[in-house]
Amino acid sequence: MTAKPKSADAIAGGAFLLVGAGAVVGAIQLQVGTPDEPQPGFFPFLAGMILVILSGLLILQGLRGRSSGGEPFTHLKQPVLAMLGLVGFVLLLEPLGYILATAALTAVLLFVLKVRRGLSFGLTIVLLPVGSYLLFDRLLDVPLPEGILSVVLGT
Amino acid sequence: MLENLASGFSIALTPWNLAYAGFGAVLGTAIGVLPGLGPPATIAMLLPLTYGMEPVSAVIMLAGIFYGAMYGGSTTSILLNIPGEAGSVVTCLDGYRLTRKGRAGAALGIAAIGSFIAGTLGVIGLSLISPILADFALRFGPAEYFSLVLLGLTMAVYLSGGSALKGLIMGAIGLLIGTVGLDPVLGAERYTFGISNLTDGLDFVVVAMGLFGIAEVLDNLEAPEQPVALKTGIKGILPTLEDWKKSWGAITRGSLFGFFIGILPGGGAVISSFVAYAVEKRISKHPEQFGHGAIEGVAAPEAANNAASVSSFIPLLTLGIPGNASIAMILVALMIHGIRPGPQLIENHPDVFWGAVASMYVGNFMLLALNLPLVGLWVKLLRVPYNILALLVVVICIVGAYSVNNSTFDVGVMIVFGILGYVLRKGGFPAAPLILAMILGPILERSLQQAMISSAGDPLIFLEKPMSAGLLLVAALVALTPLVSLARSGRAKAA
Repeated sequence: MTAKPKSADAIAGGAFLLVGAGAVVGAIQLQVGTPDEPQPGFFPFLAGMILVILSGLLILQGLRGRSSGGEPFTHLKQPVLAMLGLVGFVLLLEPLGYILATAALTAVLLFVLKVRRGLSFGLTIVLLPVGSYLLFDRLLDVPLPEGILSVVLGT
Repeated sequence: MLENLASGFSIALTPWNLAYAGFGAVLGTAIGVLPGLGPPATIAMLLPLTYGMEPVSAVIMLAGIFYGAMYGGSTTSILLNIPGEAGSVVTCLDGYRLTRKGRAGAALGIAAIGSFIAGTLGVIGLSLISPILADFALRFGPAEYFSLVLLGLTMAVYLSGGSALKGLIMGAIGLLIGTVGLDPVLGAERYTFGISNLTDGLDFVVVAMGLFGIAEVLDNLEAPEQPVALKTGIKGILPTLEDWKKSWGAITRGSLFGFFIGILPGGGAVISSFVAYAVEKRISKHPEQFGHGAIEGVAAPEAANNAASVSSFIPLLTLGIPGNASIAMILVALMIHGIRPGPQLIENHPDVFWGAVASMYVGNFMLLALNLPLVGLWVKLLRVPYNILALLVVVICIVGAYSVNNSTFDVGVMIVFGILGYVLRKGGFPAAPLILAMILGPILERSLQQAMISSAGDPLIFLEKPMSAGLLLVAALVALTPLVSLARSGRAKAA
């Protein structure tokens, strides 16, 4: 995972080139129109073309061995675990509800942050979801999903 | 103008608005002190809180966070050699040396008083220049406005630091993201892929919370900041007469540099603080003292970054162009309330404009009153473990994203942009140009279409109007810089 910045730039440039090309194709499908009668694809076409050109320059820059910033991924395990926790949270939010999904996410994040046992671990996974639910849902009127706890929460 | 300002004060001095200004200033100082959390992320997280507020109150609170962060950033630079904000990096050079010499109090005092003077001068400049600039901009047609927005965007990208090419790429992606949803003119769906949640486009608030809040947490998880403790005491926060003699010129010059650099999109606190420091060192009779505890080395950059943070409101309030990510968030806050900042803001919403300006006077005074007596508290804040901060940021972002439309889809979008923001950050791709372009893209598109339709499709309209041509020329020069440097590097390599 520690690609040299210059090759990383070329790879990133390639990815952005694909995005730009996809946007241009999408814009053409939407109809670009003419300058005096621009259609919905007119502006996205221009933006897509700009992205294609700039991405090409970045690839060139990367291939010529000029890096322009960026840093290697050092301890990738922690962020990747946290990302998985966040993605899992989104999937669980509706079925489990805010409190349980947040408790699960908090447990994952505490694990990532190396708080793995003891009172602070237990208290945090209970207090943070419940406390934030009470604050936002009950006090500030931000309705949060209740999921399987809707019977208990009684709304 | 004085009459308008007086009516602004009558708005800013209401108990609620005073409370919002105080809350913003204190929170801004706190996040300025904490290295793991920046003003754009904080403002993005608090945007949903402003839905129920009056527009002027929202701006007062969010502006307080923005300039409060500049005050807070200097405290940790001076005491711990840790710049809380990028605008305070240069303050470390002499500020921390002064702390090591036992003169932390004087450095903190001159930074706070210098910031207050600069902030106040900045607000006076803002009050004087904004109406003139807005009046001038009222004469702009679509062609001029298109060129102006394009120049603002290009400069913001170019001056925001890092690789200009990568910044421009982020800008182009932001323009594309801004086109997702219904086409503003013909109502056709663009890039929605049949997903009904995308019909209204991607929400700025959700994208910003992902790019700034979640991405920042993911980035910090790699190596969380360790809590630090101040080892020396702080005494004598009032500068001596000698300190004053050395600093008053530096504060004045720093204020001027900061004010004018801050007006430029992307100019802001970082560049102005470096420029002010470099100028002071160059004109000093004792340049060798810089970097070894020169009080002017604290006074000039601190004055500059505060003046810049105030003057960066000028392009937003008069032209509708945000120069950096924090100001872009304030633009979003106004747009949520149906107010589009621009040349007509002063005329159509004088309460918002003059109320916000007056609140900056009040906020600067509050910051001076809060910062020095509470310096011990700010330092203690650094002892808060990052674990707590990270969990709070994640929870606030989740609730904030959900509350925009009461939709899990938005939480998903925020997390996608959080992961994307983290990967882009590691690749050296700045997030600010993406959000700026996403916000300015629809304005750019509208002006472009209007100009093209009015000229029957003749693109020369942009060059035939002198103002538009001038603005485009500067934008082209700025945008072509990466190309020129790439060509130069190719030639150098070939040789």
